[in-house]
Amino acid sequence: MRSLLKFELYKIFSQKSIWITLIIIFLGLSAITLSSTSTSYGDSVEDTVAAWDKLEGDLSEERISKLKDELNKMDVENLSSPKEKAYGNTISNILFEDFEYSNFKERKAALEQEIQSLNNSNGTNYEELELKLSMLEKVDLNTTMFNLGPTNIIDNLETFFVIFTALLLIIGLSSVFSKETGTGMNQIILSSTHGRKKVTSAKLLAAVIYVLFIVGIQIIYNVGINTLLYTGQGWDSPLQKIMRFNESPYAFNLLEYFSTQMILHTLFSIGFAILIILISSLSKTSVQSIIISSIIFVIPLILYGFSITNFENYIRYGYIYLMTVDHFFVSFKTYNIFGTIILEPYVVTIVFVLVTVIFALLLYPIQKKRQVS
Amino acid sequence: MKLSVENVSKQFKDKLAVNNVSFDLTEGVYGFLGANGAGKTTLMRMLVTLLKPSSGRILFEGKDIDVLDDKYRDVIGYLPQYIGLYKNFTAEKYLMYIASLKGIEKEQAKKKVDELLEVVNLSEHSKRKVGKYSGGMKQRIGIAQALLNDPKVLIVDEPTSGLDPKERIRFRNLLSSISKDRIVLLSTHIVSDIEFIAKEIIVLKSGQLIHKNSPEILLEHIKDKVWTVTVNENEVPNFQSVYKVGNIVRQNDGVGLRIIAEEKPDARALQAAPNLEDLYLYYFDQEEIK
Ligand SMILES: Nc1ncnc2c1ncn2[C@@H]1O[C@H](COP(=O)(O)OP(=O)(O)O)[C@@H](O)[C@H]1O
Ligand SMILES: [Mg+2]
Repeated sequence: MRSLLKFELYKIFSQKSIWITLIIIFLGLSAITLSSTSTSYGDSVEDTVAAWDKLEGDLSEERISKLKDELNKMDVENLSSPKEKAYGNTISNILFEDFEYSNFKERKAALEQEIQSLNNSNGTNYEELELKLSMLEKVDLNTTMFNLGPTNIIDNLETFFVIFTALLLIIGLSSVFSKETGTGMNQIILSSTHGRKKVTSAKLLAAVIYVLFIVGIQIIYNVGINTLLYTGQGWDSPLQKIMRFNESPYAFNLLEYFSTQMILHTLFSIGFAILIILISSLSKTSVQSIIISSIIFVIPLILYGFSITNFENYIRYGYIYLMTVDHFFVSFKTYNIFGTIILEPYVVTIVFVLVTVIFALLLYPIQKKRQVS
Repeated sequence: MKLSVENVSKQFKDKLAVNNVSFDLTEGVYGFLGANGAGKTTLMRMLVTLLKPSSGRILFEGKDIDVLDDKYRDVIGYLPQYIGLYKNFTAEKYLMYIASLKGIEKEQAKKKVDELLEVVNLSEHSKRKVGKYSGGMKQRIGIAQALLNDPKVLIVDEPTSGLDPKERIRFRNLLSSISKDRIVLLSTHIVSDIEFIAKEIIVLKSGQLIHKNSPEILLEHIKDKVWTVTVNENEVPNFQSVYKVGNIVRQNDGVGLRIIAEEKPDARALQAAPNLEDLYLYYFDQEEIK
């Protein structure tokens, strides 16, 4: 089994196409990343970090009013040095965070009131709101710090890496079975002792290792370059400090969220890899299997892009959005499974693992019954 | 040891490629003769589990090979008519890969690979990529992979196509030396491949088994149907249009023809001792001979 696995890995990794794709991706990405290493206000990282060194802290009322005064005293139009500009912008940033913090507190208060008005009625709606409130209570936004590095790292999955992972999986794995048909090797493999069962296990395992490799180098690159450019500060920041997560009920800090994000991205990518392999085993040529896998991946994007159906229906469970992970953590969504309220990420993960296991197991009867043509 | 084919048929969409064939094989070399499209490859693919019979069954030692599954595949070696290769594998790597497919331990596989590379005369080229191999070399590496697991049942589909005469002789000797306690089934167009080593010859025509017998008995069937005659050069086309003409040799007194015919084809004709080539000609049309 070990030697079969070794050969399956060799067959995947000896494809020049994946290395060429990897080089293009990392060169392109480096060019994009290095072309603008400033904050959204246009300040340099160095000046911004220096400003944050002085300004990080809590969002207590007295500190906020002090910062407001400070900002008012500054002549914003005519700040002379970039350093001062960065300092002013950082204060604005903190004031905005404070604004978000008050919104958060308001939403929480409204929720508390809603729960009270339901007055202990035992409906599932009530349970759901209780759960949401208990989660929000663990979220602490009363803190502010420089967190551009981790924020970029987390954003990059949605912006780049979902597509890159999918691309590399489709390129690397579409020929796992179809190549054997194309080269005529099937005649030798399928008539050999382990050519039907163990080879299938070896191919599955090799695909999983390939996924780990693809995700692994992206993590190394992503964390590496962003830590170099934006320092390693800010992992303690709450997830809600990233704009699109401002209403998230999940009490993660950025490090916890990034870990969760990567674990789920890996899991869903393994699922996609297994789907690609299944398609490959049903395809006559690698081109056919590449096309089918690509279509399955982009269809949700097209349906959504052309507003053919609502994102909330089905589309969010397409591979592309599953692998993006973030959609499942931006808002509070639950499922009622036989009377128990369960958070969406758990449900999605469990169902997905089941579907993937079924896909993987399907390969065995397919290979057992396979005839050459 | 016994491999039995019981009433096996294979139907492709609109083509009955193998039609209710039955026979038993025991230790020894079997020659599988048949014109192109006779169904040799299809039948062999069923014997190595690459195709499932549409009806009938195949038994090894009395058990259905479909049930034996990987236990049966463990005892077979197969050389397909058109061998599959990974172009970027070296010969050595390729054979090590097949060895792992066959479940051979690494240390033993290494020894076996070296040994077989020697046998098929490819030791010097073991580090070359098989994509760069000539047709004959590919065929030889195909033979080597089939032998990796010391198969009890060796099934080789036109193994000598692409080999030069010297390699062909080597291969024939190799087969007869290993055939003692194995079942070897070899399909071919080239009668001389099996002339002296085959225990029995199986003749397949349009998917049907028409003969399975020792060469001697098969030749007995046609013993008074082979003729030689020396004719003028301008008579040759005439003979060819009327009779099955085999060998044609230029002689100093004209042209010598070897003719297969039920009746004496010409007053000048003399009866000759039949060989397998005549047998082939007798069963199959001339243009099908390669
Ligand atoms: N996969 C297939 N689909 C349809 N017809 C096939 C297939 N394989 C073989 N045949 C047909 O079956 C017949 C027997 O072919 P084959 O077994 O390759 O003969 P041989 O090896 O004796 O030349 C031929 O007419 C061939 O066209
Ligand atoms: Mg054939």
